[in-house]
Amino acid sequence: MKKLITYLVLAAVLVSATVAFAQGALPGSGWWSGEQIQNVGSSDANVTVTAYDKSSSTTYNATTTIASGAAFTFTPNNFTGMPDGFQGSAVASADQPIKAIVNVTNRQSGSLGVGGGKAAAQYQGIGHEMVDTTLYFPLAKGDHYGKTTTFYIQNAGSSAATATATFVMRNGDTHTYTTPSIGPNQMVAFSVFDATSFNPSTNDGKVGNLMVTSTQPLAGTVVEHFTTEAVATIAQGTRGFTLADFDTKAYAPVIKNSRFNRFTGIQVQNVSSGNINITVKYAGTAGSCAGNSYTDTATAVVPGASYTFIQLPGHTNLPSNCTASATIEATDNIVAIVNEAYVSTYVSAGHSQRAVTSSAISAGSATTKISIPLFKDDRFSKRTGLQIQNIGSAQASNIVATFVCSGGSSFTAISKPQTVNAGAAVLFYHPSTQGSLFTSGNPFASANVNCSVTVTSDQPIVAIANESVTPGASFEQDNNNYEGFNLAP
Amino acid sequence: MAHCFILSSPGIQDQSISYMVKYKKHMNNKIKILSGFLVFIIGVLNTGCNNTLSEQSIPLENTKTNIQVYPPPKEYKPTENPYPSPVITQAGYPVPEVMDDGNTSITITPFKLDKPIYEGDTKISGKGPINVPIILLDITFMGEYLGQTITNENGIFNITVEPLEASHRIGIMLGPLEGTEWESFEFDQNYYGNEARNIPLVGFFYDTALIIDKSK
Repeated sequence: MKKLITYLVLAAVLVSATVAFAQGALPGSGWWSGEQIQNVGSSDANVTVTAYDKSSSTTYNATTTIASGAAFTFTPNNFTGMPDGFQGSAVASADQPIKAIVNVTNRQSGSLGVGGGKAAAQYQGIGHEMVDTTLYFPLAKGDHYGKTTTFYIQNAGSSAATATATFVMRNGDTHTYTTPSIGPNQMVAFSVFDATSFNPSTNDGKVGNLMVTSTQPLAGTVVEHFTTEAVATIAQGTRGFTLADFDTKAYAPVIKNSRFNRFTGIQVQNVSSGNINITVKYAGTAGSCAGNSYTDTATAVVPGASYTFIQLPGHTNLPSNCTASATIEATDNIVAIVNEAYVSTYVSAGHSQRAVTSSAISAGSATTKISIPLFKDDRFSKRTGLQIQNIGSAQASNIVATFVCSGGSSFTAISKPQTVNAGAAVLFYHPSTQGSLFTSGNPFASANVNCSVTVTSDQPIVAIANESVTPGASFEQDNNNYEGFNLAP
Repeated sequence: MAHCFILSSPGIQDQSISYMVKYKKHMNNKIKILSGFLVFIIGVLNTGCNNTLSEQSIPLENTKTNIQVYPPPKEYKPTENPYPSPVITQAGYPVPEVMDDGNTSITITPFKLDKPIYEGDTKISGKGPINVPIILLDITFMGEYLGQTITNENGIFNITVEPLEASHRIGIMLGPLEGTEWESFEFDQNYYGNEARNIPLVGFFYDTALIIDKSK
């Protein structure tokens, strides 16, 4: 391998205990993961993913070569010598710049998964520039309306160290938990339940935010889920923030108020040292709000606290039946996440919940180029929607998406230059049926493909990839999503 | 011949529940009740069970008894949590099947780790349903294996482990059920301990406990 220039911490469990105990249907088991790695460099990338056993020094490698712009999916089957039942964390390295996303699910697929498993989540693999000794999570739940957040913290340093978690709840309660010593590349899981002082008497004591500190750099992810559910049906994942994510402005490309029974909530954490005011500016993109602007505000949010903007009637100035993009502005530094789910009335009518969580993308990280490692056009009954938001101050007239696809067929599709007003967004959804969006020389030839996507623009852009079951599919599964990686042009 | 179907969690004050539920196990090859025999069974139940049961309406499917008003047992102690729902709520209480092996009283015991558990402890004990294989895992370390056993005829289990470290959360997961009389779907919420947890990427744990630092 050439000189190592990329090192990604994947914070992933590679195989579940299901296999370890040779049981295909144990309640709660069946979790497994895959890693989609995209070469965002200019030459072929030699990529190695090293899996670290959780309880020993044993490692297993998987290697491949990935062409520029293309992507490869690693599953447990790709690791040489990995025994059934392996569990551990993973690190990817390459001689070209790479980006990766992690898929975690308990959906039954061959020998993996569990019957009835519907949960699915995606989150970003964490590059060396995304680890730090302090991590921030704007949302922490301890059985808040039946949901809990579990945090997965991986030691990305070279020495064993503990990590201290400080939870600040909405009612002002503070709880701390110090992990056992975590070896290099190893990972621990915890929740607010592990803080011995956690014994809330009100709902506001069950929701808040989290800061994790250590003497070693950490990579962290969070998964929100039902607290007690023997076979999980939802999982909502995103990565933890670091100092590099701090900004006074962040972007959320997809916001919904009662739009096809979906709604969002934006959880904004004040990571500054003083009180702040927060303004959420919405630009309507579809439904009743298309073309219009709206604003929600919060004032005097204290340091360390989080504020939640809920996009439901009675909670927001955004009208119902609305899809919008949002710009979150504050008087000092913030980090923020967005949750999306079905409204309760839809779920209580007998529909399965499907929920996702993504990070709001800081203004400082926005660029004119984005990597999307995984995009599906009806591949194994899964479909991705790619929402690209122009966050520049002027109209973008040259947003071009290049899809490198494989699966049922292999081709490269290049979109026509897209024109998008400032603050607005363009959506690629089922592109094999969106022929007018693509050039005649590089059409989106067919469905049944997995693609990696590179987007370039003449204005700064951010993107979210939302994956869901193809309408009319014969099975049900949770939705999942992840944030596009902004690259240096 | 009375068939009293009891759900209970003896000794767990904060979730003590004791009321009738669907009889779920060991019934597959038994004699099926004839619909005309149902009235007789109701009469037997009303006269042959203990006072607690005979004082309560039995929500048989045919009687359309409103399960929502089913009273809590006498030993129920209110907590901040809502009163837990019986296993069968929406579909109504099913018609019981006739057993040919005499009086049967089924006690459903949730999994329960004996707590507190301190650092350095090497003996983990608890209680659960009888004859169930269970596995003890370190949740904090992503499901690291600690030990396994089978609950005895009284539902008791004991697992010997290496000295435990503080600040780890450990938990009980079901073990391999092949060869047992159990099937995984039978372990519904009535078997959850008071710290049952779904831990994505790791598994579902019927009860968990945080290892306590002795010095604190």
